[in-house]
Amino acid sequence: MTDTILHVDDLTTHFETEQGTVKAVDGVSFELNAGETLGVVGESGSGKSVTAMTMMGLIGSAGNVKRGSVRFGGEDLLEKPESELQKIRGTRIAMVFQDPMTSLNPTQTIGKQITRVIRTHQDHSKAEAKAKTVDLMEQVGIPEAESRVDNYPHQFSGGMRQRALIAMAISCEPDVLIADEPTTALDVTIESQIFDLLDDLQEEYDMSILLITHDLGVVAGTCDRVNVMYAGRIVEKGSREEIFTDPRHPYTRGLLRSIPQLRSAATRLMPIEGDVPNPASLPSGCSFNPRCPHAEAECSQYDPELRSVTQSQEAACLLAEGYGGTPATEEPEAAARTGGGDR
Amino acid sequence: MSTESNDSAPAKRSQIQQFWHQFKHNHLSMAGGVIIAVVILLAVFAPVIAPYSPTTQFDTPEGKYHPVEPGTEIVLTNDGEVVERGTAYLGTDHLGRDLLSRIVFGLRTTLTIALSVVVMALVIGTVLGGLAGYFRDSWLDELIMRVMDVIFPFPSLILAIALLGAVGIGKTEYTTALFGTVTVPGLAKIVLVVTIVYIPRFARVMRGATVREVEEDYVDALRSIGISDINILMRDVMVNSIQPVVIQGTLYMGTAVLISAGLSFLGLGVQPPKPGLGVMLSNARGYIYSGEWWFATFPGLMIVFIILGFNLLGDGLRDALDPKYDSRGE
Repeated sequence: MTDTILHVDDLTTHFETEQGTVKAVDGVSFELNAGETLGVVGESGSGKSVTAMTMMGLIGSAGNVKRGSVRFGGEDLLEKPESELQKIRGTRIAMVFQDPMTSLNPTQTIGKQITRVIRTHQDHSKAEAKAKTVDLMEQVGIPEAESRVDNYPHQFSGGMRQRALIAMAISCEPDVLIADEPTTALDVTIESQIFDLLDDLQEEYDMSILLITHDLGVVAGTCDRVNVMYAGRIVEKGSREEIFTDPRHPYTRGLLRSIPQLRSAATRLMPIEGDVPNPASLPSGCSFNPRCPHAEAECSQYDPELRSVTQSQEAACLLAEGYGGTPATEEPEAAARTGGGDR
Repeated sequence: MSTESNDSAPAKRSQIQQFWHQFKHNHLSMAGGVIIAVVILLAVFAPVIAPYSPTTQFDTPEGKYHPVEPGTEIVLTNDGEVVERGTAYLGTDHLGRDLLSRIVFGLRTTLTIALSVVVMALVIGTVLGGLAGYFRDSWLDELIMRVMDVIFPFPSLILAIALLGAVGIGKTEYTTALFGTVTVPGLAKIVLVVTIVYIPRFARVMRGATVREVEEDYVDALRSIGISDINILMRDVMVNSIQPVVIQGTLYMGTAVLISAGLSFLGLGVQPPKPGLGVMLSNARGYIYSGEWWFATFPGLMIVFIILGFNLLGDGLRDALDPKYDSRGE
């Protein structure tokens, strides 16, 4: 059950900019197990997407992959030449992007774009590939697929386009699907449909999904395990239950407190104070210390590594152990009290 | 579970219909289109339209070697026997050749040169500019664009003259190790030289358009699904960014006509007795002040019409194809 199929180790990607070196991804390590959904959560600019793009070898010339390895099928993807990566992309690892409105070529029909992917990777005749395209479109829930294959992207709604993109991504039955904020650009009603679809497809094809999102609500509904990223690093790892009921990193706690709770006594949300630090000049010590409500003197001196706090949960915080002693429910209640005091 | 409604019914008009709708309401560009259509028809059906051969020297009332005015009777005799008889509707040139026939056949030469130049320069320039734009800031981009930068700043006619000076005028036979003896006709040389002059213009426009297109999300999406860069460049990026280059192409057709006529005027282009609009102007130069107005006027007007036609057509295409560009600056 817990076969690791993708192992990312110490991944580090820097961008050279005029303001200095931006450590977009800084020593990120995690595993993706067969058949699971792993969530990567964080604010904009925390390095989630860059992590995914680096794994795919799509970072381009601007980015500089400093260290690390992405072990997949016994090989390091980072050391593979572009020509071999092209064979892996789409067949074994595929990706779904944030904005379905712009992720399709506007001048080709939907059907042609899906057929092309199939014919790039598999040895099918034109007719076979087209039949498979219609099947795929039906499978991802596009109605009247037979006639809609000849539609152009502008004739599809956003949700339908995302379905088409998912059809493209799963056309060659990949082992890993990276979904980079797949529903951020869509209506909430469509969002749940897309996740239902991904769920069904995951079961059918036995895929692992790496779900990149900034939405903890999405994580709560779909993910088995969660990585929380901040300023290019993973600051907390754990199962969904652990992250939601017993978060150990103050950043994770902050994120959870900033979600509206229907049944909570608090009437005001508790945002995390301050802004995401400038990635070109991170604060010394723990990157989160200027915003951290619990920061102590040593937090600006020591840069904490990820440490195990329970058997399956890790956090990169000097005070994480201390949190373990306090009951998990105490913090939210304290938050509720201060929230109430503001009234 | 309900799915999203089947919204956005198929567009009522195809892109081509939309383009035509835009284009036909622009009277000036329609006029340009008509001019170009007429000129092309004249050139294609030159043997049918031209009353006489462009190289026949007729006897005129003023002798064999003198231009006569439009409407004069001309005769062709052979050993005192009349072979052909007719009217020179636009007059004759300084060798007694029918001006109308020479203009119609000259159109052929001039348009052939201009069209070959623009097509070749467009194809080569598009590929080079596309490669440079897609692999922006790579060594390939640097290599291509620096070579283009060397060619670009020269005034086109000056560079064409210099290049023609290097390869020489008229037919040349080259002995090559690979293909044996290769004969390069004079016309091909002109086409080649002017093509070289024009390639950077297309390459620059194409590079700019490509750089913008590569930023589109779908390019990343295609790469993430295992489509190769060359495939994306050829089938998606180039197809989607070629529009401004095609518009440039119609506009440059006009200037290519001007350059080829200019080279011929200077004696570097089309060589007599082959008819060409530039050669005719060159021959007419000596007769402008002596009263033979038709000799220079008709070929000159023809050049004006062609260039006007292509410019109006190009402007119209740009307005119809690129709604973001407003030529009236409103």
